[in-house]
Amino acid sequence: MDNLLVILRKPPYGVINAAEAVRHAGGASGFEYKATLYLIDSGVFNAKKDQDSGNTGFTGISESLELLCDEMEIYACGNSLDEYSLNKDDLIEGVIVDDGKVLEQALKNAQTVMVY
Amino acid sequence: MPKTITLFLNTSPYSYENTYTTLKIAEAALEKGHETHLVASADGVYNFIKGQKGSGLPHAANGFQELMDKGLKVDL
Amino acid sequence: MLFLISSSPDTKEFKTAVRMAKDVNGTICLLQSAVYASRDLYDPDMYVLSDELQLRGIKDNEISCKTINYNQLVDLMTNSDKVMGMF
Repeated sequence: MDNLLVILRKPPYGVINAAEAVRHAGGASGFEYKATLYLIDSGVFNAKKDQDSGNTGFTGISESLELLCDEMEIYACGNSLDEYSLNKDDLIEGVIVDDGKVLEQALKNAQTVMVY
Repeated sequence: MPKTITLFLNTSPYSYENTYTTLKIAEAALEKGHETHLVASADGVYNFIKGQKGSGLPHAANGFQELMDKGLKVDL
Repeated sequence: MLFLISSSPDTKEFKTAVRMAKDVNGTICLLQSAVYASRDLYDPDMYVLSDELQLRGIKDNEISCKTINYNQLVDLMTNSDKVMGMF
């Protein structure tokens, strides 16, 4: 089984990157890839809890991530969280905080890396 | 007192949030009785293509059509 | 002069927009990804769009700017001599 690493660097909603990263990570997971989603820079805001898309027409990104947590590992970069004064309690359940070691390994182990 | 607002949209409908922002500002402006115009330029013109099948984001063509029915004036 | 700033705070566009607004003593309203800046910047004259905060899960107690809705934003726009909404 090939490893796919999806790195998401952008926050949700303002640009399409987050929705596409989630869509591709989820899709790959359904096609027998071992997918890993890694949130870094302002991409960590995708895992912020209490997002409410209401009747805006947007698909809630944190809701999608909560579902994906059952299928794959989702990491948030610890340094990026610090930079934005976020901690684990600000995030949805299931997202793992990484001190950098996971990213290093994931980059080495992945056959394919998609950067959003 | 009613005024004239002209909004300028130059990005494609499903890559940025600008379409949603424009829809919401135009909707609020029309509700307040302002004469509301939209000028679409560059990739902004794609917001008005027929037969869009976008999902997971606000539907651009349907959203603008609704506002045009309420008086939004659009120039491409 | 009213500046509508939409880029994420970590971008060059955001920094340029804030600097330009300050240079001309303009009023700033944060939209879209720019609303994340309201968690760090304290500016009593800065506005932030409440709908965008709600969409992104940012609560009122996390920020120190004035929140407004789209109706109030339109009032701000129509009461300004000029609106810059390009960032």
